[in-house]
Amino acid sequence: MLRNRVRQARINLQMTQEELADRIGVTRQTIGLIEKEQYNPTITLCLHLSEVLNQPLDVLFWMEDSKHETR
Amino acid sequence: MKQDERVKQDIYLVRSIGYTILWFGTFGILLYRWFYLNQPLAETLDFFLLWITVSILAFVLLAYRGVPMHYPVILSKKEQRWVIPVVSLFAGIASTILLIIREAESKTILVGGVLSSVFTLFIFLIYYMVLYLWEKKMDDIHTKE
Repeated sequence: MLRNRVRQARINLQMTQEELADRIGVTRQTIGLIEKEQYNPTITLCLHLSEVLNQPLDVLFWMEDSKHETR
Repeated sequence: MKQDERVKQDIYLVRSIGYTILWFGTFGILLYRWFYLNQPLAETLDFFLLWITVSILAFVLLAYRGVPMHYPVILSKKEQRWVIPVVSLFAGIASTILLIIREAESKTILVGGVLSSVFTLFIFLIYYMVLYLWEKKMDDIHTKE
């Protein structure tokens, strides 16, 4: 399962879901689903999120059974 | 204008559900009209032509997008060589049985059975040809890179 810390990174930057959605060109609902881990974004969207949230890709997203799980 | 991949995927999914319902629904209606109401093909030609055109188009588009015909079953090339004629033969036998049930003339039964097999074989060969060209195109792109 793909896990993420998009919500935490967004809150750290004091952004709303709507602001983040506007920055990367998706709907607010999609950001909500990504944060709830109900939708697995494509690598393109992951890279956009990584850029806008100023976080390395592997910090923002990781597989549950990978070595990053214990972070 | 937003290009939301998740929304796009959901739109495709919903349309796909709609297409599947329409496809099976139309097929069901055709079977009902042919075998329950005993309507001849000429009376259902509009529905039938629409249904067969969409079916063939969808079939060929799958090949054009590089989807193996036997997906999700894994078949070797040797097995695939068997599957095509066997399925074509089965289509011919099924058509023959249906024509016998409909009490068609013996000439119609024979022609219908053979044509059905040939048509199925033709469609399958088209599929493999399109898929072969798609693979060749992908190989060419890879070689250029």
